[in-house]
Formats: sequence, structure tokens, C-alpha cells
Amino acid sequence: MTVVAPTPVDIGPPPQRVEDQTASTGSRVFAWLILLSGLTYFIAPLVATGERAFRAIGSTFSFEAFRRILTDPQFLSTFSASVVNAIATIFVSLLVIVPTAYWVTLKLPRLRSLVEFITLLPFVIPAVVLVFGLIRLYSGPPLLLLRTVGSSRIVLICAYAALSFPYMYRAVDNGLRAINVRTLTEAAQSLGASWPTILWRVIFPNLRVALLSGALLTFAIVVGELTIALYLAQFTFPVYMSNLVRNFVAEPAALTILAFGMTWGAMGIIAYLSRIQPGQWRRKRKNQAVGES
Amino acid sequence: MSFLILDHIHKEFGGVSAVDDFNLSVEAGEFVSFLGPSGCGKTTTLRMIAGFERPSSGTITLNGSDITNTRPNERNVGMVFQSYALFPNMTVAQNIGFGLRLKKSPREQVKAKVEELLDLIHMPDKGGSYPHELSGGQQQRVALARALAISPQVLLLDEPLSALDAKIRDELRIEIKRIQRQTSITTIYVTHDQEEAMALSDRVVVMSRGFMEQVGPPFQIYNFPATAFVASLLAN
Repeated sequence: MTVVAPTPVDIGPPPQRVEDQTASTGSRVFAWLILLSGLTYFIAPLVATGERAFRAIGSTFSFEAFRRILTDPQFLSTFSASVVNAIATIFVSLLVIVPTAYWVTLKLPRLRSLVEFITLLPFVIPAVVLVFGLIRLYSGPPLLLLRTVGSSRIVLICAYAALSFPYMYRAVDNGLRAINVRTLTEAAQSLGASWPTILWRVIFPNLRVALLSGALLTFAIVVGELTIALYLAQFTFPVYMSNLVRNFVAEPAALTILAFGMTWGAMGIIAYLSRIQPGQWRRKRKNQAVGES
Repeated sequence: MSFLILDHIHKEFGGVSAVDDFNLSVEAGEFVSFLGPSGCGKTTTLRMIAGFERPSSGTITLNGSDITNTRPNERNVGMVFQSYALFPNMTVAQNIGFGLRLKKSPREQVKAKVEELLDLIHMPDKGGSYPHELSGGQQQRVALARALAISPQVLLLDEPLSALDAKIRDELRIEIKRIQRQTSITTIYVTHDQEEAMALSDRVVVMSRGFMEQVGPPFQIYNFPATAFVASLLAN
């Protein structure tokens, strides 16, 4: 008897059940609803602020509020003062946090949770409590650091550095976890590198993105912090903003839009730079050269 | 007098002995392997020679100088790691020239040495590449060149082939032996792979639980195991 093998028949994909299709359509609609309400929540205040900023003269659309802001000498002086404060804060914060986080990762991993807790303290202590503590400590002898505007500014920068610790430490710690710190350090040591050389030429360059994100977060904090600056009698950008809010309508809205643009620009820079690997520019240039020839 | 002498080396971690009464004399140009299972103390001994760990007791003498308490960056000892440890922010050429630049060698001299070493590892056209653009085998060759660039007194290799696949491992093993013969550098090689140890070494140190079980040429170790442990290790 001959056995004939059954011929395979293409029956196509299994039919989707009606309930499945209904459920998937329902969940898709729900997802869109959530997305739209989220976008509305974030964008509506911005649109309202923009509407106010672009209607400085009656109901006419104009850049008048932006023009007034950008030509106001106080805007430039306070903004540049805050930028200088931010750069100094980033410098102090990096100087404290990078060696600390590096040493904890390398030599004292057991102390990591303690150091993390200490860096989180600025979240627990409100800015107003911190500034009154600073005023009590530095307004009397032996450390009379609040006598002049210049010396008060040093106190302000140190206070800002403390405020930046939670962000800077986390950024640097994440960066250190992403590279093999111990082996890189030992490799550099075996080649004759001292501790400062290792930090400067091996660790810092490999924490590029982490340091950049920590620095930009610190920048955002310093440029937006009002309480400490106000109580330490420093005329910074947020103080200028708060004065403006009391006296004008369209100009603060224009300032908000400007600040928003700067923040998103900074975030975009972080996102872009974090994707660049060493040598990428060189490869791009090489490919372009090959393409051109 | 031997070139490298480990004299009654003992190392404890939190009261637990990792290396116990380790004695070894290595001649200049010799290739010695430390062979044993995980936790036998071979890497700890290597790290003590490199200076990354300090012996709890005993002395290490290199070329007539006591280096027991010398800092790792002052020993002039080249090290190759299992995980390559190339600096990701530097090109291959910059990695190889790193140690020479630290020694403030003239730019032309660094360039010439880097080119010479790139030829030695058969990667003359890869000087401008970054580590992430290379395969594991290529990265390990660069790590070897980088360690050799500083003309170290001793070359230390800590399981350099363990992270590579079998074919690359065999190729690189031959390369390591060729380079060691060509440069006549005193080499200490840590491995748990007996085939590697037997193929590469002038002498093999078999270790177990911090102790030296047997020291000798591969032929002697293979044919006349001194202890049951050595016999069972080689039987596997």
C-alpha cells in the first residue's frame, strides 16, 4: 500500500478574535487620550504665556516685550552675573564631587550610601533654612564673610554648590559606573601616571557626558534660584525676574519663554553630545572627503 | 642573583589568607606562568608584583631593588588586563604612547616607538582608530603594545585571553609568545588554562588555595606532578 503524504495547504495567519481587535482599539484610544491630556497639561500654560509675551502692545502680535527685555541693561547685567555665578558653582561642585565620587568608587565603596545621603541633604533642608544658617554663621566673628557684596557672593556660590550636589553626584556616579574605573586607574598607574594625571587625563575625559549633564543641571539651578540670592542681597537674574513680575505683565512672560528656550536648548545639547562617541567627527569628515572625491 | 625575587610573600584580606609563604625567583627574559583555579591567589600575587596590593609580609626584589613598598607608577612594570583597559577617549596611537608622553619623551621618539609597536602587533594602519572600533583580539594586542611601550622591566599578563573566543585566543597566544621571544622581556602570565600555561611558559607555578603546589618546566609538571592536586588539575 502506498502512503501519500498530505499536501501542505497555506491557511494564512490565524484569524484574530473580535474581542482582541476591540480591546486593542480601545487601549490605543486610551493611550492617545493620555498623551493628549499630558501634552495639554504641559503646553497650555506655555501657549498662554507665549500669547501674553507676544501681545505686549494691545492685541497686536509683536516682539516688543522681547525687545524691551533684551535692551534692558539690568537684564544683561543680572543674567551675566548669574552666568558667572553658575560657572563658578560648576567649578566648585566639580572640584568637590569628582574626586569624592572617584575615591568612593575606587577605595571606599562601603561608604557609597553614606555619601549619597550627605549629597541628598539639600533636598531635606529648605533653601530659606539654609540661608538663615549661613547668615547666622558668617555675619558675626570670626568669619565676617557677609560684610561686602563681593564676599557675600562667595558664600552664595558655595551655597549653590551645596544645592547642586544631589544632581552632580548622581551624574558623576552614574558616569563612573559606566566605565571600569578600577582597571582604567590601574592601567594608567602601571604606565607611570600619578593620581592627578589619572583624574585629569583618564577619568575626566571619560566622564564627559556625565559632567556635562551635571554641569547643565547646576546651571539651571543657579540661573533660577531666588531665595538664597534675595536674602544674601545679590541682584541676580531670578531677583530681576521677580521684580519684573511685580511691575509688568508681558515682559515676565517673554522672559519665561526665553528661559524655557534656553533650558530646552541645554537639554538638546546633552542629548546630542551623549550620543557622540570618540572619533565620530573624524569619521564623518573622512566619509565626507571620500564622498567629495 | 635572579631578576625578580618574591621572598616569603604572605597576603591576608580581613584575616583570611590569600597567598601563603610564596617564594619564587625569576631569571631575566624568563616566561613564567601562574596556573591554578579561581581563588588560588595567582592574581593577588601578580597584583603584588604590580604594586596594586601590598604584601602583609615578605619582600619583592626587582633587578636588585626592593620594590615591596614602591608605588605602582614608580615600578616600571607593564600590565595587561583581562578586560583590555584601553582608554576609551584616546586613539590606538595615543593609548600606546600614553606612558612615553608621561615620561616626557620627545614627540618624534614617541611617534617612532608607537609605529614600531604597531608593526610588532601587525596593526600598522590602526593608529588613528578608537578602542570601540576594534575587535576584542585587536584591543588586547593594543593593550600589549601599550604595556611594552614603556620598556618595562617585567611584563605582567592577567588572564589576557580569557575574554576572547577560541580561534582568536589561539592566534593571540602565538602572538604573545612571538613578541616575548622578540623582545626578550621577563614575563609573568596568570591563567587558569593549563594548555595556555604549558604552551607559553619556560616554567609553570601551579597554585592552590594560596600555596605553591609545584614549580617547574611544563614537561616536568606534566610528566611528574608533585601532588595529587597538580595531577588532577592536569588530568582535567
